[in-house]
Amino acid sequence: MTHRERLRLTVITGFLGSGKTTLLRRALGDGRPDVAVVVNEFADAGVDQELIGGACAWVVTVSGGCACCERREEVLIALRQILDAHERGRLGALRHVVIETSGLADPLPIVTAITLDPVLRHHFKLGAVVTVVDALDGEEQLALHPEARRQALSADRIVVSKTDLAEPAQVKALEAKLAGLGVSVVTPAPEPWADLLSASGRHERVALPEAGAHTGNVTSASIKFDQPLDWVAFGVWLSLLVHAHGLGLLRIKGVVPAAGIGSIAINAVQHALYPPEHIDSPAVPARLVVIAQDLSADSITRSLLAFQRAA
Amino acid sequence: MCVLCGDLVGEVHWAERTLGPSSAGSSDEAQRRQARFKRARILNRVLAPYQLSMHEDLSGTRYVVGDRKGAQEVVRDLDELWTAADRLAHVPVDPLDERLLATLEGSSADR
Repeated sequence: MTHRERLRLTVITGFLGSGKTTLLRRALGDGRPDVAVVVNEFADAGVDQELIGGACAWVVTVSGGCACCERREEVLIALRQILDAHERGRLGALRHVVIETSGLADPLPIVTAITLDPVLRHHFKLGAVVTVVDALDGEEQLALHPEARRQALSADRIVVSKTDLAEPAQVKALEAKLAGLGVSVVTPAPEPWADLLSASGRHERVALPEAGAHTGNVTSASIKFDQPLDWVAFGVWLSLLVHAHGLGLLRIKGVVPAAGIGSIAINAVQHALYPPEHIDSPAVPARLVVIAQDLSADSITRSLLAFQRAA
Repeated sequence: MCVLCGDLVGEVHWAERTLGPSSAGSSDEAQRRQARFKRARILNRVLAPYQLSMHEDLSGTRYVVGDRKGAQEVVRDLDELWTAADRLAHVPVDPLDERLLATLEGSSADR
């Protein structure tokens, strides 16, 4: 059997009208035959397929509900269709698949479902969750809509849209609001668009929240490592943490230095954990970010260190 | 399937995969055995406050977790082990449990 590299998966999310499709169209530029797109529309009929269709290898639309709940199975079927076409050589040089969620979708259950799928998990690797936040209405949406907050908290990368239409004070207020949630902001510029789907530099681009940030009952910890970890003890700890508290673990991501092995990228979403990968880049900062709901970030940090002492 | 014992060989758990380059003079299998030995030692420290213990089975591919009354379960990997441990302990094994953390934090002093 021919070995194929796993397809890089990017999830683009953001509240209703925030500019997800615009962002995707800019990322696709004049045409990206190496990209296939799954568009999820909350409404029964969507228009995004027509807007995107000519700029990528294939577009599959899943409409009539959110990809995180009632249409989740359809998204998995769409990914299997893309995978099947790819395996049969019908999609040429396919390397990326983008899921554009509906404006009300929570991206984490989608990522979790893919991670747990017995077939898809072997053929896709999570690139990034990119969340678009509207500079004009984003602050209000974050305040009023839990869906918008979940989307922001799930992000590896935040893109603020419509900054050209907003007052500078509005943009600053939104950035402060996002910082309060514990997420960093990427200010729009021409350069990031094509780069959004890039296969390289995933870890350099991860938007890492700082320690202690919180909103409501969501907390985050940024655990830095000044010495290598015992990988066996880390595996025991993380497997138990995900088993016991998966529902409350919104995200665990980052790079840990493993003694005798090197840098290992960690990426977990609730109960689902992507297989850790050994990475060669020494420039990647060694730290682990934990974003949790109804769990103490300090306890998680203490627990990690206690398990290391047991090694 | 193993041709000797007929056991179904499943996917290797992420925590048990060999990552990175092999150490000089050490085969993958030797590293795997060393890691399993160390994992068993750590697991027993974690399970002890719950009155549980574990050991490897004879094939070196399964774990056996049990309580002090003799109840035992054979499991394939860490995910199954934690589920079995929850059942045998009648409470969830919790990595944030104060009692467990205090025990582990005293581990290095116990050696």
